[in-house]
Amino acid sequence: MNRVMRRTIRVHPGGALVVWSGQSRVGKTTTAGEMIRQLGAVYDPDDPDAFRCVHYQVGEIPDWSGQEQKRGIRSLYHKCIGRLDEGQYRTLPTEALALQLVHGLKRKNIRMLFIDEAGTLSVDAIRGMVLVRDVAENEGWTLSMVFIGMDDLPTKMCSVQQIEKRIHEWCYFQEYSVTDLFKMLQELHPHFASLRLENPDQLEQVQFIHNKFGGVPGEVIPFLTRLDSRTNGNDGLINLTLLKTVYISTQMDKEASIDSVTKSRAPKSKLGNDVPAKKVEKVKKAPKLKRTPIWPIGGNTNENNESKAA
Amino acid sequence: MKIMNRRQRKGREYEMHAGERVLRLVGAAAEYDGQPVSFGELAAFAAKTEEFSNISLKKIKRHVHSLVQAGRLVNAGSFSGTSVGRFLYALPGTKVDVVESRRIVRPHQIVNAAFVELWNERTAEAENEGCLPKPVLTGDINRHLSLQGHKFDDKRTLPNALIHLSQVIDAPIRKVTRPGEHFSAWAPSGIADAELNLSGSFGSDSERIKIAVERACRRLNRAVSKNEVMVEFDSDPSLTLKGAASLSVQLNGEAKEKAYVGGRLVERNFISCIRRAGQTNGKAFYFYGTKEDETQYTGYVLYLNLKLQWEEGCAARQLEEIEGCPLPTVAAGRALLVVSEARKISGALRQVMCTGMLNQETQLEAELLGKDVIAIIDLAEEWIKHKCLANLNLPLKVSSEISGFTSDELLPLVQPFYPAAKKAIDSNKLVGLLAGDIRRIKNPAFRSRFGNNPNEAAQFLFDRTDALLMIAKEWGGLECSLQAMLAIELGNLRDAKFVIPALTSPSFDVRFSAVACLAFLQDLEGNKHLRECLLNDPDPDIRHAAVWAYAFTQQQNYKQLLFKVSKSDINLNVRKFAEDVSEIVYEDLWRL
Repeated sequence: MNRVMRRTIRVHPGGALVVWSGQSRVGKTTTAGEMIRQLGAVYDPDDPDAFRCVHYQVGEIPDWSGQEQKRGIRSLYHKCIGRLDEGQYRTLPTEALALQLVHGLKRKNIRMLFIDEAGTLSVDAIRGMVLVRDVAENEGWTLSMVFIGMDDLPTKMCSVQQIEKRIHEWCYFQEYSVTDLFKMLQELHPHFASLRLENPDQLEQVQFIHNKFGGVPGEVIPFLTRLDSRTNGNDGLINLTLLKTVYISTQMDKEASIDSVTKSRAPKSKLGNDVPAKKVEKVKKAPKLKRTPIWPIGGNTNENNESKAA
Repeated sequence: MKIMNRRQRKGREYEMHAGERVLRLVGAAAEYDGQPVSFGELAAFAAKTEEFSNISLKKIKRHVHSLVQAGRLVNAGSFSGTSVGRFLYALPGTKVDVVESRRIVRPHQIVNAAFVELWNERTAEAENEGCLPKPVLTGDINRHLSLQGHKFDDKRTLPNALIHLSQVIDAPIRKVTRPGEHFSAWAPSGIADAELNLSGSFGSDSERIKIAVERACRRLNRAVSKNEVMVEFDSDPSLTLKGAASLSVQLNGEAKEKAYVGGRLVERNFISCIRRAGQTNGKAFYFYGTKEDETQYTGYVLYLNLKLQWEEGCAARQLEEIEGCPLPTVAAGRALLVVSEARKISGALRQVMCTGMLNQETQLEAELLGKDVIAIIDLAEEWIKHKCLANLNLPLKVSSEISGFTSDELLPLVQPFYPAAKKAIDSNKLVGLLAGDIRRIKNPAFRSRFGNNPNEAAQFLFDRTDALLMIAKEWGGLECSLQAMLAIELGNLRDAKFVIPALTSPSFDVRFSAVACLAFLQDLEGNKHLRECLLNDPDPDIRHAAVWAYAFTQQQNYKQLLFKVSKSDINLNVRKFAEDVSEIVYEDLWRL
């Protein structure tokens, strides 16, 4: 999290386009929220270098829905400035709208925008937003935009050269390793704070959580909440069996509810008996894009050292 | 004819008594025309006859009167409505009737001939169709004469001639009286009403319109608009208008309470006629009846006006917008305004429904509208209760007073920016140009459209804040346009008391929007708070926005204050902006 924040801040002075991607619940939005909190905490209106940030979840703008660039700009305007007059939206050309938005950003001293769920935007809508940054650059206003989305976002950003070549930084949110997950668990839960990885029984508990949730913080935290509700705060009861019980009870209920839905949707025979459900064809998963690491992963790089230091 | 020189003529004139000459003139003219002559015809005859050309008109007139009094000339009859004289003169003992007529000169003779021709046509048509002939209308004769190339100088000649023809001894025509019909129909004296087809014969467009309005009112059981009258014209071809004037013009003319008669504006004294029931959204409504029927018909127009007022208020949309309004105090004010306006409409609607002024169908519509209004009141009150507005220290009542611009006041504001208005010298043209873009409100000071004071002559005013917002959005510079965009959150609220508390909000966005709202409200109390904000707000971005906003309100000595800010503010940007703004004129503020 800290590493991504530092990388983003590092490219900001020139006004940058940054892409944050990674699978769901991996901590992108939390990172954006944390970054805004930190920047907000140090904001001083009388400091000429201080600035405001805006973070918002963008709604879907599908391809071929018409006026996508304008709609992208309107989305930003609505969040950063206020309601955009319908007449203005219709009559002004895209670049004039962008100019108005940049003027509003200047007046409100907003220099960084976090556009969450940017994967739902069409390529044209993203181009509209990129246009705003370009106009800001021409106007001498430093404006950074952070597009936050899941795995399909990088594909979208790379589909048009005009966007791809303008992106200053790519950040990919990876799942936590066992060690990192253990550190996070120690921070979050008193039971794990007392564990030691050198103890194989205790290591097994951490590995169980890692195996089941894949080091995705957004899934681990709800699990810990369920665990707490089961133990009623009595951490002494927690062991691997309890962890498995908590996991399985939820998992079993989930499978049962899916089964019931599948059965209710299954076609009935003329006699009213259930037709044996056909073997559901497994949907072939799309092959994962072979990601070439943009920054070195693992090893004793400066980045990792910095993140550890943080 | 023997040509005499001047001296001879003079000598002869002296020989003859002038009166004798006039007597001879009358005799010659009557002989020439084969009938008694009027003074105008005598003059015309004298002018073209060399013998009498030297008799002046004055002399002819004087001597004719003397000769009549002396009994040497007889007054053979009188006639009105022509430009050639009223009385007809002849020598005593002249057998006028037996003199062979060489030409028809009397208007009543022309009219009689036209009537006979028309009547013959009618009877022939009726025989072919196997029905009774329709009487001849005055308008029919007029059209017939026009086709023949006859045109009377005075439009009263034709009806006068017809009346004359129907009143003389052995009258050739008679007036056909149709109960309830104002316009006259004519038939030969020997034809009784039973031998005539009296249905579907209309004297004029005016009569057709009257019938159409009466039918439409009867069909719908309420006052009717032009389009509803038009349906009657489509359903009955005999009502087809003959004149060139449009239906709306004719309806308007028919419904006038005063009319020009003989050059004088007089009150129309018809008992039953087309009357105006009122107007809504530029559409006039009429009814046919007496003045006592007015209340029965005006109820519908009152209902329509209330419905329009409700629709224009867009209360449901206002409530939706309130949900997303970033200024909680403004949102509260807007909600209170919705409740207040809705209550007014609900009360007025109840009053209209209780008085029984509506027909059954409209009554049902009004009841549904009433339910809608009450539902909105409930929603808004629920919202107000839910948002715990008591914590915001807001007034309990919202003012619905709106300051407005007359066209004369708005024109100089718009002219520098609006290309179409640059050409408009007459401020009244602005109404057509901007009526759809700027909200118009009723002028409480309105007295008469023809008053000398423009503030009292304007029936509607342009909403001041709305006008400023429109100009700023359409033609303003970036700063002006930005502040206008932020101020649209005001909606219909014009009470600054609901904006002022937002200036002390801890939220930067709320304060920023509040400054923009006060710039466009231009309220005295609001301006004082704007000044405070300009001097004391902790955030330089707010002070920066307040510099433009305060200058825009055009307060007295605003330049001095900006000059002070340009010297004393701790932020460089604010100082510089204040200096820039203090140096420019008002018109350039829009372009900033």
